[in-house]
Amino acid sequence: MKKIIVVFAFLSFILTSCNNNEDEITIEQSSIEMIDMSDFFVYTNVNANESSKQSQSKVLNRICHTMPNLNRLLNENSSLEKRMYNIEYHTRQFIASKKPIGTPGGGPGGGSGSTDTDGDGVIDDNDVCPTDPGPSSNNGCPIQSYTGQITIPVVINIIEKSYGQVTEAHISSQIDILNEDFNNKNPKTLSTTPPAFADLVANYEITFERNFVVRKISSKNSWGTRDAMKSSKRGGIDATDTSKNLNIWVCEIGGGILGYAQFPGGPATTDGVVIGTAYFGETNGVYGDGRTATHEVGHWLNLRHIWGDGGCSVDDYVADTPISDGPNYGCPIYPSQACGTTDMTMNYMDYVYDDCMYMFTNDQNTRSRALFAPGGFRESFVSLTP
Amino acid sequence: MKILTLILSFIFIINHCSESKKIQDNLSFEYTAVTRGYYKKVIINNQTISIFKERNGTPKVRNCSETEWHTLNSLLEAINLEQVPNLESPSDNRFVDRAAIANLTIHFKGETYKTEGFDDGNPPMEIAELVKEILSMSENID
Repeated sequence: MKKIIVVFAFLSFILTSCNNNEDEITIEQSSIEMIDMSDFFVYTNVNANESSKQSQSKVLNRICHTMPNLNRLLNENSSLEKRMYNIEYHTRQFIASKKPIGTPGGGPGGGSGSTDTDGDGVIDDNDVCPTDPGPSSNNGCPIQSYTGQITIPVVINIIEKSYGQVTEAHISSQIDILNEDFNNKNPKTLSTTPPAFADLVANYEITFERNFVVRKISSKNSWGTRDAMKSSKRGGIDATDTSKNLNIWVCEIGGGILGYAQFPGGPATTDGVVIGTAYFGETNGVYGDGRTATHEVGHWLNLRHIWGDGGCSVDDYVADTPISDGPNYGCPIYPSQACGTTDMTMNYMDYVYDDCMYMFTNDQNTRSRALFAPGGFRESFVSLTP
Repeated sequence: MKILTLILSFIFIINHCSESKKIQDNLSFEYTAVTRGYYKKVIINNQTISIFKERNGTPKVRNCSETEWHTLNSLLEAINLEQVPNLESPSDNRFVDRAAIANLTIHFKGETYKTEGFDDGNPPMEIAELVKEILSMSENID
Protein backbone atom coordinates (compact mmCIF):
# COMPACT_ATOMS: atom_id res chain seq x y z
CA MET A 1 0.00 0.00 0.00
CA LYS A 2 2.76 2.37 0.96
CA LYS A 3 4.53 1.65 -2.30
CA ILE A 4 1.42 2.47 -4.29
CA ILE A 5 1.04 5.76 -2.48
CA VAL A 6 4.65 6.61 -3.14
CA VAL A 7 4.36 5.73 -6.83
CA PHE A 8 1.20 7.79 -7.10
CA ALA A 9 2.72 10.70 -5.28
CA PHE A 10 5.80 10.52 -7.45
CA LEU A 11 3.74 10.45 -10.65
CA SER A 12 1.65 13.42 -9.65
CA PHE A 13 4.83 15.18 -8.64
CA ILE A 14 6.31 14.61 -12.08
CA LEU A 15 3.09 15.67 -13.79
CA THR A 16 2.94 18.93 -11.87
CA SER A 17 6.55 19.62 -12.63
CA CYS A 18 5.90 19.08 -16.35
CA ASN A 19 3.05 21.56 -16.22
CA ASN A 20 5.23 24.09 -14.53
CA ASN A 21 7.83 23.71 -17.20
CA GLU A 22 5.29 24.24 -19.95
CA ASP A 23 4.19 27.49 -18.36
CA GLU A 24 7.74 28.64 -18.27
CA ILE A 25 8.42 27.72 -21.86
CA THR A 26 5.58 29.99 -22.99
CA ILE A 27 7.15 32.90 -21.19
CA GLU A 28 10.52 31.91 -22.52
CA GLN A 29 9.51 32.14 -26.17
CA SER A 30 8.33 35.71 -25.84
CA SER A 31 11.55 36.89 -24.24
CA ILE A 32 14.59 38.05 -26.12
CA GLU A 33 17.11 35.45 -25.11
CA MET A 34 16.16 31.87 -25.65
CA ILE A 35 17.09 30.25 -22.38
CA ASP A 36 17.70 26.56 -22.68
CA MET A 37 16.45 24.86 -19.54
CA SER A 38 16.36 21.35 -20.93
CA ASP A 39 19.25 20.06 -18.84
CA PHE A 40 17.99 21.50 -15.58
CA PHE A 41 16.53 18.86 -13.35
CA VAL A 42 14.72 19.82 -10.26
CA TYR A 43 15.82 18.41 -7.02
CA THR A 44 14.77 18.99 -3.48
CA ASN A 45 16.96 19.65 -0.55
CA VAL A 46 14.29 19.42 2.07
CA ASN A 47 14.51 16.39 4.27
CA ALA A 48 14.12 13.10 2.53
CA ASN A 49 10.79 11.41 2.57
CA GLU A 50 10.61 10.62 6.22
CA SER A 51 8.39 7.62 5.77
CA SER A 52 11.02 5.76 3.81
CA LYS A 53 13.87 6.48 6.15
CA GLN A 54 15.25 3.10 7.03
CA SER A 55 16.58 3.84 10.42
CA GLN A 56 13.10 4.41 11.78
CA SER A 57 12.03 1.50 13.82
CA LYS A 58 8.78 2.81 15.26
CA VAL A 59 6.61 1.03 12.76
CA LEU A 60 3.27 2.07 14.25
CA ASN A 61 4.32 5.67 14.44
CA ARG A 62 5.40 5.47 10.85
CA ILE A 63 2.10 4.18 9.53
CA CYS A 64 0.13 6.85 11.35
CA HIS A 65 2.22 9.66 9.98
CA THR A 66 2.79 8.51 6.44
CA MET A 67 -0.10 10.27 4.72
CA PRO A 68 0.09 13.70 6.32
CA ASN A 69 3.86 13.66 6.00
CA LEU A 70 3.74 12.81 2.34
CA ASN A 71 1.17 15.51 1.60
CA ARG A 72 3.13 18.07 3.51
CA LEU A 73 6.32 17.21 1.68
CA LEU A 74 4.64 17.23 -1.70
CA ASN A 75 3.15 20.65 -1.10
CA GLU A 76 6.47 21.91 0.08
CA ASN A 77 8.31 20.32 -2.79
CA SER A 78 6.17 21.59 -5.64
CA SER A 79 6.50 25.20 -4.55
CA LEU A 80 10.17 24.70 -3.73
CA GLU A 81 10.67 23.13 -7.11
CA LYS A 82 8.97 26.09 -8.80
CA ARG A 83 11.10 28.58 -6.87
CA MET A 84 14.30 26.77 -7.74
CA TYR A 85 13.31 26.55 -11.38
CA ASN A 86 12.69 30.30 -11.42
CA ILE A 87 16.03 31.00 -9.78
CA GLU A 88 17.78 28.86 -12.36
CA TYR A 89 15.89 30.61 -15.17
CA HIS A 90 16.86 34.03 -13.82
CA THR A 91 20.46 32.88 -13.45
CA ARG A 92 20.62 31.78 -17.06
CA GLN A 93 19.04 35.01 -18.30
CA PHE A 94 21.65 36.88 -16.32
CA ILE A 95 24.52 34.81 -17.70
CA ALA A 96 23.14 35.15 -21.26
CA SER A 97 22.78 38.91 -20.96
CA LYS A 98 26.36 39.18 -19.78
CA LYS A 99 27.60 37.59 -22.96
CA PRO A 100 28.39 40.02 -25.78
CA ILE A 101 25.44 40.28 -28.15
CA GLY A 102 25.53 41.60 -31.68
CA THR A 103 28.47 43.62 -32.89
CA PRO A 104 31.16 44.86 -30.54
CA GLY A 105 30.16 48.27 -29.26
CA GLY A 106 26.75 47.11 -28.24
CA GLY A 107 24.48 47.55 -31.25
CA PRO A 108 21.11 45.87 -31.35
CA GLY A 109 20.82 42.49 -32.89
CA GLY A 110 21.81 39.13 -31.58
CA GLY A 111 18.54 38.46 -29.86
CA SER A 112 15.49 37.72 -31.95
CA GLY A 113 12.99 39.65 -29.83
CA SER A 114 11.80 43.19 -30.22
CA THR A 115 13.40 46.16 -28.49
CA ASP A 116 10.46 48.29 -29.52
CA THR A 117 9.26 48.49 -25.94
CA ASP A 118 6.72 51.29 -26.45
CA GLY A 119 5.22 49.51 -29.42
CA ASP A 120 5.29 52.46 -31.86
CA GLY A 121 6.91 50.39 -34.58
CA VAL A 122 10.23 52.19 -34.40
CA ILE A 123 13.24 51.41 -32.29
CA ASP A 124 14.23 54.85 -30.99
CA ASP A 125 15.18 56.69 -27.81
CA ASN A 126 11.59 56.43 -26.54
CA ASP A 127 12.16 52.73 -26.07
CA VAL A 128 13.53 51.61 -22.76
CA CYS A 129 16.71 49.93 -23.90
CA PRO A 130 17.04 50.62 -27.62
CA THR A 131 20.67 49.69 -28.06
CA ASP A 132 21.10 46.98 -25.53
CA PRO A 133 18.21 44.55 -25.54
CA GLY A 134 17.57 42.19 -22.69
CA PRO A 135 14.86 39.79 -21.56
CA SER A 136 11.25 40.98 -21.58
CA SER A 137 11.00 40.03 -17.92
CA ASN A 138 13.32 42.97 -17.29
CA ASN A 139 11.43 45.46 -19.52
CA GLY A 140 13.57 44.48 -22.47
CA CYS A 141 16.75 45.61 -20.75
CA PRO A 142 19.73 43.46 -19.85
CA ILE A 143 19.94 42.36 -16.25
CA GLN A 144 22.64 44.48 -14.69
CA SER A 145 24.99 42.78 -12.36
CA TYR A 146 25.71 44.18 -8.95
CA THR A 147 29.34 45.11 -9.40
CA GLY A 148 31.98 45.62 -6.78
CA GLN A 149 32.32 44.41 -3.24
CA ILE A 150 29.37 42.79 -1.51
CA THR A 151 29.25 42.71 2.27
CA ILE A 152 27.46 39.80 3.90
CA PRO A 153 26.67 40.10 7.61
CA VAL A 154 27.17 36.76 9.35
CA VAL A 155 25.21 35.49 12.34
CA ILE A 156 26.93 32.58 14.06
CA ASN A 157 24.59 30.26 15.95
CA ILE A 158 26.66 28.06 18.25
CA ILE A 159 25.23 25.04 20.03
CA GLU A 160 27.93 23.74 22.38
CA LYS A 161 28.38 21.39 25.32
CA SER A 162 29.80 24.05 27.60
CA TYR A 163 30.01 27.79 27.27
CA GLY A 164 33.00 28.84 25.17
CA GLN A 165 33.73 25.39 23.73
CA VAL A 166 33.71 27.14 20.37
CA THR A 167 36.27 29.85 21.00
CA GLU A 168 36.64 33.41 19.77
CA ALA A 169 39.68 32.16 17.84
CA HIS A 170 37.50 29.62 16.01
CA ILE A 171 35.02 32.33 15.09
CA SER A 172 37.49 34.93 13.91
CA SER A 173 39.62 32.41 12.01
CA GLN A 174 36.52 31.14 10.22
CA ILE A 175 35.54 34.67 9.14
CA ASP A 176 39.14 35.25 8.01
CA ILE A 177 39.19 32.06 5.95
CA LEU A 178 35.92 32.95 4.23
CA ASN A 179 37.28 36.41 3.42
CA GLU A 180 40.49 34.92 2.08
CA ASP A 181 38.72 32.43 -0.15
CA PHE A 182 36.03 34.79 -1.46
CA ASN A 183 38.53 37.56 -2.23
CA ASN A 184 41.15 35.46 -4.00
CA LYS A 185 43.59 35.81 -1.12
CA ASN A 186 44.20 32.15 -0.42
CA PRO A 187 48.02 31.99 -0.62
CA LYS A 188 47.88 28.57 -2.31
CA THR A 189 46.01 29.98 -5.31
CA LEU A 190 49.02 31.94 -6.49
CA SER A 191 51.63 29.35 -5.57
CA THR A 192 49.92 26.17 -6.71
CA THR A 193 47.26 26.74 -9.42
CA PRO A 194 48.26 24.81 -12.57
CA PRO A 195 48.81 27.12 -15.58
CA ALA A 196 45.88 25.50 -17.38
CA PHE A 197 43.50 26.86 -14.74
CA ALA A 198 45.28 30.09 -13.79
CA ASP A 199 43.18 32.31 -16.09
CA LEU A 200 39.96 30.95 -14.63
CA VAL A 201 40.59 31.96 -11.02
CA ALA A 202 37.85 34.27 -9.74
CA ASN A 203 37.71 36.99 -7.17
CA TYR A 204 34.22 36.82 -5.68
CA GLU A 205 34.64 40.20 -3.97
CA ILE A 206 32.47 39.18 -1.05
CA THR A 207 33.32 40.40 2.44
CA PHE A 208 31.94 38.44 5.36
CA GLU A 209 31.37 40.61 8.39
CA ARG A 210 30.66 39.22 11.82
CA ASN A 211 27.28 40.54 12.88
CA PHE A 212 26.73 38.72 16.17
CA VAL A 213 27.08 35.35 17.89
CA VAL A 214 24.26 33.39 19.54
CA ARG A 215 25.22 30.65 21.97
CA LYS A 216 23.21 27.83 23.42
CA ILE A 217 24.27 24.95 25.67
CA SER A 218 23.18 21.43 24.74
CA SER A 219 24.51 17.99 25.51
CA LYS A 220 23.12 16.55 22.28
CA ASN A 221 25.76 14.52 20.43
CA SER A 222 24.19 14.31 17.03
CA TRP A 223 21.93 16.98 15.52
CA GLY A 224 21.59 15.19 12.20
CA THR A 225 20.86 16.82 8.86
CA ARG A 226 17.15 17.58 9.26
CA ASP A 227 17.54 21.16 10.41
CA ALA A 228 16.73 20.56 14.11
CA MET A 229 19.57 22.94 15.03
CA LYS A 230 17.74 25.72 13.18
CA SER A 231 14.62 25.55 15.32
CA SER A 232 14.25 26.64 18.94
CA LYS A 233 11.23 24.35 19.21
CA ARG A 234 13.52 21.43 18.48
CA GLY A 235 16.21 22.60 20.87
CA GLY A 236 18.21 24.62 18.38
CA ILE A 237 18.54 28.31 17.56
CA ASP A 238 16.13 30.11 15.23
CA ALA A 239 17.65 31.87 12.23
CA THR A 240 18.17 35.64 12.25
CA ASP A 241 16.64 37.47 9.24
CA THR A 242 17.97 35.29 6.43
CA SER A 243 17.28 38.00 3.84
CA LYS A 244 20.01 40.16 5.38
CA ASN A 245 22.32 37.66 7.10
CA LEU A 246 24.23 34.53 6.32
CA ASN A 247 23.34 32.24 9.22
CA ILE A 248 25.97 29.70 10.22
CA TRP A 249 25.02 27.02 12.74
CA VAL A 250 27.85 25.30 14.56
CA CYS A 251 26.97 22.03 16.28
CA GLU A 252 27.69 18.30 16.41
CA ILE A 253 26.07 16.98 13.21
CA GLY A 254 27.06 13.31 13.46
CA GLY A 255 26.81 10.56 10.85
CA GLY A 256 30.14 11.48 9.31
CA ILE A 257 28.79 14.74 7.88
CA LEU A 258 31.24 17.69 8.12
CA GLY A 259 28.74 20.34 7.12
CA TYR A 260 25.73 20.93 4.89
CA ALA A 261 23.95 23.73 3.10
CA GLN A 262 20.65 24.72 1.52
CA PHE A 263 20.40 25.99 -2.04
CA PRO A 264 18.83 29.40 -2.73
CA GLY A 265 15.07 28.93 -3.00
CA GLY A 266 14.65 26.79 0.10
CA PRO A 267 12.59 27.86 3.12
CA ALA A 268 13.70 31.20 4.60
CA THR A 269 13.64 29.84 8.16
CA THR A 270 16.33 27.28 7.38
CA ASP A 271 18.44 29.31 4.93
CA GLY A 272 22.15 29.14 5.77
CA VAL A 273 24.88 26.60 6.39
CA VAL A 274 25.65 24.12 9.15
CA ILE A 275 29.21 23.29 10.16
CA GLY A 276 30.29 20.49 12.47
CA THR A 277 32.02 21.81 15.60
CA ALA A 278 35.34 20.14 14.78
CA TYR A 279 35.46 21.72 11.32
CA PHE A 280 34.53 25.30 12.19
CA GLY A 281 37.41 27.74 11.79
CA GLU A 282 41.04 26.82 12.32
CA THR A 283 41.08 23.47 14.14
CA ASN A 284 43.21 20.46 13.28
CA GLY A 285 43.36 17.56 10.87
CA VAL A 286 42.84 17.45 7.12
CA TYR A 287 39.49 19.23 7.47
CA GLY A 288 40.78 21.70 10.03
CA ASP A 289 41.35 24.77 7.87
CA GLY A 290 37.80 26.07 7.80
CA ARG A 291 37.11 25.21 4.16
CA THR A 292 34.03 23.15 4.94
CA ALA A 293 32.40 26.57 5.41
CA THR A 294 33.84 27.84 2.11
CA HIS A 295 32.34 24.82 0.31
CA GLU A 296 28.95 25.16 2.03
CA VAL A 297 28.78 28.91 1.42
CA GLY A 298 29.49 28.03 -2.23
CA HIS A 299 26.22 26.02 -2.19
CA TRP A 300 24.50 28.92 -0.41
CA LEU A 301 25.64 31.02 -3.37
CA ASN A 302 23.95 28.55 -5.77
CA LEU A 303 27.01 26.51 -6.74
CA ARG A 304 26.67 22.83 -7.35
CA HIS A 305 29.38 20.25 -6.82
CA ILE A 306 31.98 20.58 -9.55
CA TRP A 307 31.22 17.11 -10.93
CA GLY A 308 27.52 18.03 -11.27
CA ASP A 309 26.37 15.24 -8.91
CA GLY A 310 26.18 12.77 -11.75
CA GLY A 311 28.11 11.06 -14.56
CA CYS A 312 30.02 12.65 -17.45
CA SER A 313 26.79 13.85 -19.04
CA VAL A 314 25.64 15.79 -15.97
CA ASP A 315 26.91 19.35 -15.70
CA ASP A 316 27.34 21.71 -12.78
CA TYR A 317 25.79 24.48 -14.92
CA VAL A 318 29.13 26.27 -14.99
CA ALA A 319 30.75 26.60 -18.42
CA ASP A 320 34.42 26.94 -17.47
CA THR A 321 34.69 23.98 -15.10
CA PRO A 322 35.74 20.65 -16.66
CA ILE A 323 33.20 17.83 -16.95
CA SER A 324 33.69 15.11 -14.37
CA ASP A 325 31.87 12.02 -13.17
CA GLY A 326 32.47 12.11 -9.46
CA PRO A 327 34.18 13.77 -6.53
CA ASN A 328 37.90 13.73 -5.85
CA TYR A 329 39.11 12.94 -2.36
CA GLY A 330 42.28 13.43 -0.37
CA CYS A 331 44.91 15.55 -2.04
CA PRO A 332 45.09 14.51 -5.71
CA ILE A 333 48.28 14.86 -7.66
CA TYR A 334 47.76 17.02 -10.76
CA PRO A 335 46.64 16.09 -13.34
CA SER A 336 43.83 13.65 -12.57
CA GLN A 337 41.64 12.75 -15.48
CA ALA A 338 37.93 12.04 -15.73
CA CYS A 339 35.55 12.06 -18.71
CA GLY A 340 38.50 12.80 -21.01
CA THR A 341 39.43 16.07 -19.31
CA THR A 342 41.62 17.11 -16.42
CA ASP A 343 39.63 17.53 -13.22
CA MET A 344 39.81 20.83 -11.38
CA THR A 345 40.35 19.03 -8.09
CA MET A 346 41.48 22.25 -6.38
CA ASN A 347 38.06 23.85 -6.81
CA TYR A 348 36.31 24.66 -3.54
CA MET A 349 33.30 22.68 -4.79
CA ASP A 350 35.18 19.36 -4.98
CA TYR A 351 35.60 16.97 -2.00
CA VAL A 352 39.35 17.22 -1.38
CA TYR A 353 41.15 18.11 1.87
CA ASP A 354 40.91 21.72 3.08
CA ASP A 355 44.49 22.47 2.20
CA CYS A 356 44.12 21.12 -1.33
CA MET A 357 41.24 23.35 -2.50
CA TYR A 358 42.00 26.92 -3.45
CA MET A 359 39.91 28.31 -6.30
CA PHE A 360 36.53 29.32 -7.68
CA THR A 361 36.19 30.01 -11.42
CA ASN A 362 34.94 33.12 -13.20
CA ASP A 363 31.81 31.37 -14.39
CA GLN A 364 31.08 30.11 -10.89
CA ASN A 365 31.36 33.73 -9.79
CA THR A 366 28.95 34.88 -12.52
CA ARG A 367 26.47 32.20 -11.46
CA SER A 368 26.62 33.38 -7.87
CA ARG A 369 26.48 37.07 -8.84
CA ALA A 370 23.14 36.45 -10.56
CA LEU A 371 21.68 36.07 -7.07
CA PHE A 372 22.48 39.71 -6.30
CA ALA A 373 21.22 41.14 -9.62
CA PRO A 374 17.73 42.70 -9.80
CA GLY A 375 15.22 39.90 -9.32
CA GLY A 376 17.90 37.63 -7.89
CA PHE A 377 17.19 35.50 -4.81
CA ARG A 378 19.74 37.33 -2.63
CA GLU A 379 19.10 40.80 -4.02
CA SER A 380 18.01 41.89 -0.53
CA PHE A 381 21.64 41.76 0.60
CA VAL A 382 22.60 44.61 -1.73
CA SER A 383 19.40 46.63 -1.96
CA LEU A 384 19.39 49.94 -0.14
CA THR A 385 15.82 49.65 1.11
CA PRO A 386 15.69 48.40 4.69
CA MET B 1 28.86 -45.06 23.26
CA LYS B 2 28.96 -41.47 24.36
CA ILE B 3 32.27 -41.06 22.63
CA LEU B 4 30.82 -42.53 19.45
CA THR B 5 27.93 -40.07 19.54
CA LEU B 6 30.36 -37.26 20.09
CA ILE B 7 32.55 -38.33 17.17
CA LEU B 8 29.55 -38.83 14.92
CA SER B 9 28.08 -35.46 15.72
CA PHE B 10 31.49 -33.91 15.23
CA ILE B 11 31.77 -35.42 11.77
CA PHE B 12 28.27 -34.26 11.07
CA ILE B 13 29.11 -30.69 12.05
CA ILE B 14 32.27 -30.68 9.94
CA ASN B 15 30.36 -31.96 6.94
CA HIS B 16 27.68 -29.38 7.48
CA CYS B 17 30.26 -26.60 7.62
CA SER B 18 31.96 -27.63 4.40
CA GLU B 19 28.55 -27.88 2.82
CA SER B 20 27.81 -24.23 3.61
CA LYS B 21 31.28 -23.18 2.51
CA LYS B 22 30.67 -24.17 -1.07
CA ILE B 23 31.89 -21.29 -3.18
CA GLN B 24 29.18 -19.41 -4.97
CA ASP B 25 31.23 -16.81 -6.77
CA ASN B 26 28.62 -15.80 -9.28
CA LEU B 27 26.84 -13.42 -6.89
CA SER B 28 28.02 -10.62 -4.61
CA PHE B 29 26.73 -7.33 -3.27
CA GLU B 30 28.59 -4.09 -2.71
CA TYR B 31 27.22 -1.01 -0.97
CA THR B 32 29.21 2.21 -0.65
CA ALA B 33 28.38 5.46 1.15
CA VAL B 34 30.98 8.16 0.68
CA THR B 35 31.19 11.87 1.29
CA ARG B 36 33.80 14.42 2.30
CA GLY B 37 35.33 12.97 5.46
CA TYR B 38 33.31 9.75 5.46
CA TYR B 39 33.79 6.34 3.91
CA LYS B 40 31.86 3.11 4.22
CA LYS B 41 31.91 0.07 1.97
CA VAL B 42 30.20 -3.25 2.55
CA ILE B 43 30.93 -6.31 0.44
CA ILE B 44 28.88 -9.47 0.90
CA ASN B 45 29.29 -12.80 -0.82
CA ASN B 46 27.99 -16.18 0.25
CA GLN B 47 30.91 -16.67 2.62
CA THR B 48 31.76 -13.35 4.18
CA ILE B 49 30.55 -9.88 5.07
CA SER B 50 33.32 -7.28 4.87
CA ILE B 51 33.08 -3.72 6.01
CA PHE B 52 35.62 -1.01 5.13
CA LYS B 53 35.61 2.21 7.16
CA GLU B 54 38.55 3.76 5.36
CA ARG B 55 39.52 4.04 1.73
CA ASN B 56 42.31 1.49 1.14
CA GLY B 57 41.85 0.33 4.73
CA THR B 58 41.62 -3.25 5.96
CA PRO B 59 38.09 -4.57 6.39
CA LYS B 60 36.41 -6.10 9.38
CA VAL B 61 35.13 -9.48 8.29
CA ARG B 62 32.69 -12.04 9.60
CA ASN B 63 30.99 -15.09 8.16
CA CYS B 64 27.81 -14.79 6.19
CA SER B 65 25.34 -17.32 7.54
CA GLU B 66 23.19 -19.42 5.26
CA THR B 67 20.06 -17.76 6.57
CA GLU B 68 21.44 -14.33 5.78
CA TRP B 69 22.50 -15.42 2.33
CA HIS B 70 19.07 -16.88 1.62
CA THR B 71 17.45 -13.64 2.72
CA LEU B 72 19.59 -11.64 0.31
CA ASN B 73 18.87 -14.10 -2.49
CA SER B 74 15.14 -13.90 -1.99
CA LEU B 75 15.25 -10.09 -1.88
CA LEU B 76 17.26 -10.15 -5.09
CA GLU B 77 14.56 -12.14 -6.84
CA ALA B 78 12.18 -9.20 -6.51
CA ILE B 79 14.58 -6.89 -8.32
CA ASN B 80 14.76 -6.37 -12.07
CA LEU B 81 18.54 -6.31 -12.49
CA GLU B 82 18.43 -4.71 -15.93
CA GLN B 83 16.65 -1.73 -14.40
CA VAL B 84 19.15 -1.21 -11.57
CA PRO B 85 21.26 1.38 -13.47
CA ASN B 86 18.10 3.38 -14.25
CA LEU B 87 16.63 3.59 -10.75
CA GLU B 88 15.86 7.13 -9.66
CA SER B 89 16.97 8.54 -6.37
CA PRO B 90 13.94 9.64 -4.32
CA SER B 91 15.84 12.54 -2.73
CA ASP B 92 18.91 14.62 -3.48
CA ASN B 93 20.25 15.67 -0.11
CA ARG B 94 23.76 14.68 -1.21
CA PHE B 95 23.80 17.69 -3.59
CA VAL B 96 24.28 19.94 -0.55
CA ASP B 97 26.24 17.43 1.57
CA ARG B 98 23.25 16.51 3.73
CA ALA B 99 23.76 12.83 2.94
CA ALA B 100 26.62 10.64 1.80
CA ILE B 101 26.60 9.49 -1.84
CA ALA B 102 25.45 5.88 -1.88
CA ASN B 103 25.80 3.23 -4.58
CA LEU B 104 24.67 -0.38 -4.77
CA THR B 105 26.50 -2.77 -7.07
CA ILE B 106 25.33 -6.30 -7.73
CA HIS B 107 27.68 -8.74 -9.43
CA PHE B 108 25.64 -11.58 -10.88
CA LYS B 109 26.71 -14.27 -13.36
CA GLY B 110 29.59 -12.24 -14.72
CA GLU B 111 27.53 -9.07 -15.15
CA THR B 112 27.75 -5.92 -13.04
CA TYR B 113 24.63 -3.92 -12.19
CA LYS B 114 25.37 -0.58 -10.55
CA THR B 115 22.96 2.13 -9.47
CA GLU B 116 23.43 5.82 -10.01
CA GLY B 117 24.27 7.72 -6.83
CA PHE B 118 21.50 8.10 -4.25
CA ASP B 119 21.25 9.49 -0.72
CA ASP B 120 22.68 7.20 1.96
CA GLY B 121 19.69 6.31 4.12
CA ASN B 122 17.06 6.81 1.40
CA PRO B 123 17.55 4.34 -1.48
CA PRO B 124 15.22 3.95 -4.48
CA MET B 125 12.23 1.94 -3.27
CA GLU B 126 12.92 -0.93 -5.68
CA ILE B 127 16.11 -1.80 -3.79
CA ALA B 128 15.15 -0.42 -0.37
CA GLU B 129 14.59 -3.78 1.31
CA LEU B 130 17.82 -5.25 -0.04
CA VAL B 131 19.86 -2.22 1.02
CA LYS B 132 18.25 -2.30 4.46
CA GLU B 133 19.24 -5.95 4.86
CA ILE B 134 22.81 -5.35 3.67
CA LEU B 135 23.20 -2.47 6.12
CA SER B 136 21.75 -4.33 9.06
CA MET B 137 24.02 -7.29 8.35
CA SER B 138 27.03 -4.96 8.32
CA GLU B 139 26.03 -3.38 11.62
CA ASN B 140 26.42 -6.59 13.62
CA ILE B 141 30.03 -6.91 12.67
CA ASP B 142 31.87 -5.35 15.62
